[in-house]
Amino acid sequence: MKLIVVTFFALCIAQNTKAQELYPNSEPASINPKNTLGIRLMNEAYVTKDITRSWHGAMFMYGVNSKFMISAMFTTSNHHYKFLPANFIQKDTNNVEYVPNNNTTTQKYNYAFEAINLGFRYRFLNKDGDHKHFRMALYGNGVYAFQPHDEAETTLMGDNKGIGGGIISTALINKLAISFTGGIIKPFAYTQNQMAINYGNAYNYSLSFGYLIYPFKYKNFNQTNINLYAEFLGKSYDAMSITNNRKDVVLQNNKAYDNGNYIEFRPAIQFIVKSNLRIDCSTSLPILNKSYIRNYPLYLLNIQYYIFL
Amino acid sequence: MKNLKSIVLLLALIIKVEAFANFINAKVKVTGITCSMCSNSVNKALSSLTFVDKIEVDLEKAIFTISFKPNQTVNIDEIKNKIEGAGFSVGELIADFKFENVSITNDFHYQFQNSTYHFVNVKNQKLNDIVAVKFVDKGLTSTKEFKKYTTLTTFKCIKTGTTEACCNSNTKQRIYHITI
Repeated sequence: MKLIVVTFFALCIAQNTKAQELYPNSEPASINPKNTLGIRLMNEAYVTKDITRSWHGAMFMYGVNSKFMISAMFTTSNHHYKFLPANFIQKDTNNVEYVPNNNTTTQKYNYAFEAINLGFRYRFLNKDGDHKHFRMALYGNGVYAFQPHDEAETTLMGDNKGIGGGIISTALINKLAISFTGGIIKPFAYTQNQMAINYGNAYNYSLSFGYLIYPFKYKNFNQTNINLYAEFLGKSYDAMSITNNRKDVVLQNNKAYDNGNYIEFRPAIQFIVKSNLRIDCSTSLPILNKSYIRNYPLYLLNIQYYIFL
Repeated sequence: MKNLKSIVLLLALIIKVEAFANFINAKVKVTGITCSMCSNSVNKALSSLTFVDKIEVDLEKAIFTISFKPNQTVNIDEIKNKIEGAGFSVGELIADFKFENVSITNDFHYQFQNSTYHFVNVKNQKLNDIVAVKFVDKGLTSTKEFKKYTTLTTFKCIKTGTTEACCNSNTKQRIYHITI
């Protein structure tokens, strides 16, 4: 783990590097160009003891003007059961057991359409200089999710209905591109019959660094660019609660329902082909605690393309 | 009568020659650019302008040399808007302009293709042939340069980029500020 971090920074310092801010695992304060449609296909996978879990998203981004962009993302995955699992048994305050799923047939993790995520990004500050800039942006997302989620850790990437927003600061000073994001996720409850899962708020933050390692000198648009990134993504989330017929349900002692926090290190390599096709390969490794909703290592592959309208 | 005809003809010729005076190209340094993908966005945005003929890009320095189609009205603000739309800024804009015997003095307002070009911080001279003019308006140069030039003229129009009391004009119109 340490070796990867050290090697990464050693490589960046050793090379005649330039800064890059097309972060694979977070968004910079810069926005999609005006009148341009960005299409990003996102893929995530990790292995559990039974199956390989994967998540796929298609994101469409459009630059309305030089400061404002909108986005729509559609996601699918095999992360969810169709209903809450039969063993998701809880007792209410009268000690009555509640089984949310009467379907006794074993559920499988089939692929299902997860969610629609609509978002915006507004760049409210822009200071451009010669080979440097500082930008700040506000972002917001609203998600409608269709699948059940029975863990306290929430996301706006397909797991939960809800809204989220935050602030992004990106600075580019000569060879260092650094970006900080701080945001909040306010999930909405998941309901099944009379039962409701009420999730707590989550707070997400990230710190990202990016470098161009090839080419040493830009000559033309056909040169493939290779960029390296080091990103640190953190999240802390509150515990969830369950109500049945509006009565509190006593939660079993399960770590999945508790609050938590973690920080992941996400190194990435990126190829930009013909100055338009962007391919991001990255992995995620826990450096402080672990996410409860995935296994490590997590593998990510993004492909992005701009259509100039 | 014959003389009058000659004069009219000569005048028409002068006017025609004057109309042929034009922008030839512009060298634009774009700031805030960090990647060839960004340069590509700027390139595509600039290519969509009707008066642009071709663009050569120095990716290393982020300098876009835009050649203009002959006899077409060039709108410098549209160049700026396209660059800003792609998410970047103009750091410097120097245009090659073909002048036909234009005598200028400091703060001279030159009318050309529905726009006025105000010469800032220049010596009295006669301009003939191709001259590189540098735009010093807000958004067409660095903030530092813009501020520097606002102190080099007493005319208020440099601050707003449109006609002010200083310009002796009743209509509100765009005034570009240029220097040599």
